[in-house]
Amino acid sequence: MNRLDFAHRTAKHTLEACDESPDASEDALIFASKVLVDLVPFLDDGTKRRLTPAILKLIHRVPPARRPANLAWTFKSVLDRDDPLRSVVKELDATNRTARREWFERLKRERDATARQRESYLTRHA
Amino acid sequence: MNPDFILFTAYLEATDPGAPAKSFDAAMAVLKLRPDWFAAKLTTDADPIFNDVSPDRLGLLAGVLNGHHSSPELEAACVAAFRQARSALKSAPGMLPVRRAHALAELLLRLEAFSKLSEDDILWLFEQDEYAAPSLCFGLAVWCRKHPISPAVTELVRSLRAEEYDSPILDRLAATVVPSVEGMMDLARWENGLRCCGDREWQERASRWEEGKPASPEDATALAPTLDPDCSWNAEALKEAIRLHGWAVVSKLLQEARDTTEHPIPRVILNAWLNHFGGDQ
Repeated sequence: MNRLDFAHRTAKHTLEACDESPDASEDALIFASKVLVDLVPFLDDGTKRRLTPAILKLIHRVPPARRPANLAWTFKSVLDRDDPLRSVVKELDATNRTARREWFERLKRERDATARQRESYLTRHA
Repeated sequence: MNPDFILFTAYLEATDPGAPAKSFDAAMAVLKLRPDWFAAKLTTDADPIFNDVSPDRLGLLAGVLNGHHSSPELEAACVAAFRQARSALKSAPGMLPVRRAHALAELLLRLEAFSKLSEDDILWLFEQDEYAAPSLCFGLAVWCRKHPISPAVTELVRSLRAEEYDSPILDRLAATVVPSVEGMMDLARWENGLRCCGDREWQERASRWEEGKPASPEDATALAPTLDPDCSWNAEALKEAIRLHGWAVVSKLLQEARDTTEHPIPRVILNAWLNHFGGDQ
């Protein structure tokens, strides 16, 4: 039976579905970007190269802190050394790392503030 | 953009017996993104999946799930399918029902529900499935913690140990269920081996001893206090052995193992256990 393999079919469908819904929810975009990044290793070389610009465009639509991590590793085998998309991937990774660090720091600040509040409440009511 | 649709196509591909291996792997990568969705689907579609998907693929799909995705319905469906595989062996002999039962046992293990199998199930599995040991020995150890141990299970553990798999899980289980002098020596050997993996100082001093260099008093005094028996890799097994067989039996075995072993490090370990657990009695 001549059937399109699952990775190719699903990657194409996911990209088309995201293209057709510019108002897709944040959660749907996050899921779609993760599906695409996880499917890249299963695509044949030609399809990988053809779909990479569209995948990167979709990843741009996802908030940086919630994008798939380590994109350079995923696209290492896809993009040639002199491919201009390499710098796009590098930039995406750098932005994602910064956003994730900021998110962790904010989380830590909030946790510390809660701990301080709790401590002061306990001191007042001791 | 509908995530459910993508998950559903991945699910169809992963459970399609005719799907090529590459497509199956890709579908599994997608299902791994939402294991809770897959667990819910597995619960509603248990019969066709457990009966039609090949045992190898079922075993791989089990890897998508863990204890967080378990539910009483999924566990019950899994146990029912296991029993169906058991009875299928009577009507259609061959390895397929056994391999299916093995995959379902793996799934139960992933769902932290291995103890839902009955004693008959366990004995059947380890009798029929040549790959049950050592891969499902962890499940057997979990099962033994939650069920009364009958003479048949004791015999099973004894025979598994006699087959000499190099497995710390099996040796721990044997030390609990059928404790022996050799079993205690094996526990001390594993304790040393596992400690060498994570404790650099222990490894350096231990290797000097293992190389046959004389045991310096500095090494002995340095190592002995670092061995907190409560944090021992084998503390639980020893406590369980004491609960099942009594301190008198276990201490006699520990003493004999300590006095018999020729290696200084297992001797230090056995001595520490003897002093520590004896204090609790």
